[in-house]
Amino acid sequence: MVLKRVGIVGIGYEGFRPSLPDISTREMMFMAASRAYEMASVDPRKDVDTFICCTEDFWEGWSITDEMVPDQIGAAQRPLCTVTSDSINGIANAFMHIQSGLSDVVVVEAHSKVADVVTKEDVENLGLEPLYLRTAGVDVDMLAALEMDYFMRAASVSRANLDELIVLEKRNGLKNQRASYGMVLSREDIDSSESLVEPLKKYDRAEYAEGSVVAVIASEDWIKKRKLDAIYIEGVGWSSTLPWYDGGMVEKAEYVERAFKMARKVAGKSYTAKSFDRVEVDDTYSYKAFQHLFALGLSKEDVVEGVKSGQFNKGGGSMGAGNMIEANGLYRVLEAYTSLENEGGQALVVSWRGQPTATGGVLILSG
Amino acid sequence: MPINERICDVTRIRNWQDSIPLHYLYTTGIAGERFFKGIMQGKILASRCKRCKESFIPPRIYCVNCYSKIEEFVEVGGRGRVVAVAERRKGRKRIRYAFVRFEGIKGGIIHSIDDDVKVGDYVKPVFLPREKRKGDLSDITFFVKT
Ligand SMILES: [Zn+2]
Repeated sequence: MVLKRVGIVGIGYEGFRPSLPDISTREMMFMAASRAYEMASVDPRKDVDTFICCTEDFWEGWSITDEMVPDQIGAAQRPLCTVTSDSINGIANAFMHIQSGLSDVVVVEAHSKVADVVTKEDVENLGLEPLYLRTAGVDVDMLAALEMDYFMRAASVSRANLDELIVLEKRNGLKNQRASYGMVLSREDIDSSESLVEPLKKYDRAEYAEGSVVAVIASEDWIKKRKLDAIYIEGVGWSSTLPWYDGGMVEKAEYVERAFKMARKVAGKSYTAKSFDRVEVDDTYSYKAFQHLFALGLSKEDVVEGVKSGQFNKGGGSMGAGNMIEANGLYRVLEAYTSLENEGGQALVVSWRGQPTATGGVLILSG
Repeated sequence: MPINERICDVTRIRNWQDSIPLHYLYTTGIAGERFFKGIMQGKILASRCKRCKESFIPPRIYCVNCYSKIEEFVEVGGRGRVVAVAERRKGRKRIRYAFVRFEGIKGGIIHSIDDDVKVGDYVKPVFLPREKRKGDLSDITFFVKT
């Protein structure tokens, strides 16, 4: 059986700012969705078969928050489900809805209204395993600093390597109108910046940002019938592996390695990381970007060279645009989409669910 | 634009603050019961899969590799090795943590360490006096060099 090809026909967003105090979460979603529907020429009340929202109750400050999702994205009285993970997982679900024949058109939404979370560190720390981590007094920054130290030793990555990535991505961010944290930064600035937990510095960790991203995803038949342009999803994969502190790998992100393998299998092609014109990779922590790139099969030389020549995260990644929690995956898809729409080619998107997880997703897109 | 007018005057922005007080009990479970009873006796236990011969900390009653049921618990040797160190400074106070691994064991323990402990050092746990132990990881004060 030949499965249906699946493409993205519209992508809209609102925000990408440190805070959006004048609109509520639901209004922010409404604005992003309205733009995506306009771009895809769809009426959500008639044309969309299923809706998927990527959201986590603790970041919303509201349990069963998914119950409050439908109205603002035009999904009242329609099939909607939430995916409590990074939005690449939401896209993977949309892909399956279409390939299985369940839907022709699926909407995926993800957002961050994180400036509304007054005690962010409490939400972060509630993600830690209670008996073996929390009772030992570990918090998220401590855990990240330990992983960073362990990784840098295991993979021979230096402070200078990380600095190079941060400086470049912050500068790339300056060229991206969406990126609130783009800036000209020197290695000295990083060196003299606040140490959160040695070796983790302030600039090693992307700042939070608020925003919503909505993608309209459809089958090729539907796209052709409507005579629309699309960016096609060639492959999708996701994986959860053992975290490093439970005995999992640290020198590379095994979840990315496995997700990339799955995405290549879905695509039916033997891509390597070098096959792509655009690589958008999770960089919510400087060292995680390296860990994720190594998992794609790139050598240290490849990665260092790629960072120098600006091959990865051309829009500044999360270092430039901010950490948008569950919307990080869709943000990277938005960057890849914009680039493929203008320049064509193929893009690889790599996402991570964030601390303290060993969960990630990979998407292969073609323009 | 779906919203035609945005608020430009911040004094007109209204919000409401609330908090969610949540309280939980986390059941230690069968493997946790064995592990934390061991801690009370000054021992660190790992669970061992008979089938793939791998041992794990934190211990589990199932194997992450082959999904066999695990019933065997083994005491790890007296010393672990530090593979990563992180340090938070609060004024003049240094709060140092390490990831400590044990020979032949998958996983390890993240805990606080003495001021002079470095990566590569062999370390052992310092337990609270027996009568003060509660059966959780705070029964270990910190790890010191062996
Ligand atoms: Zn086993």
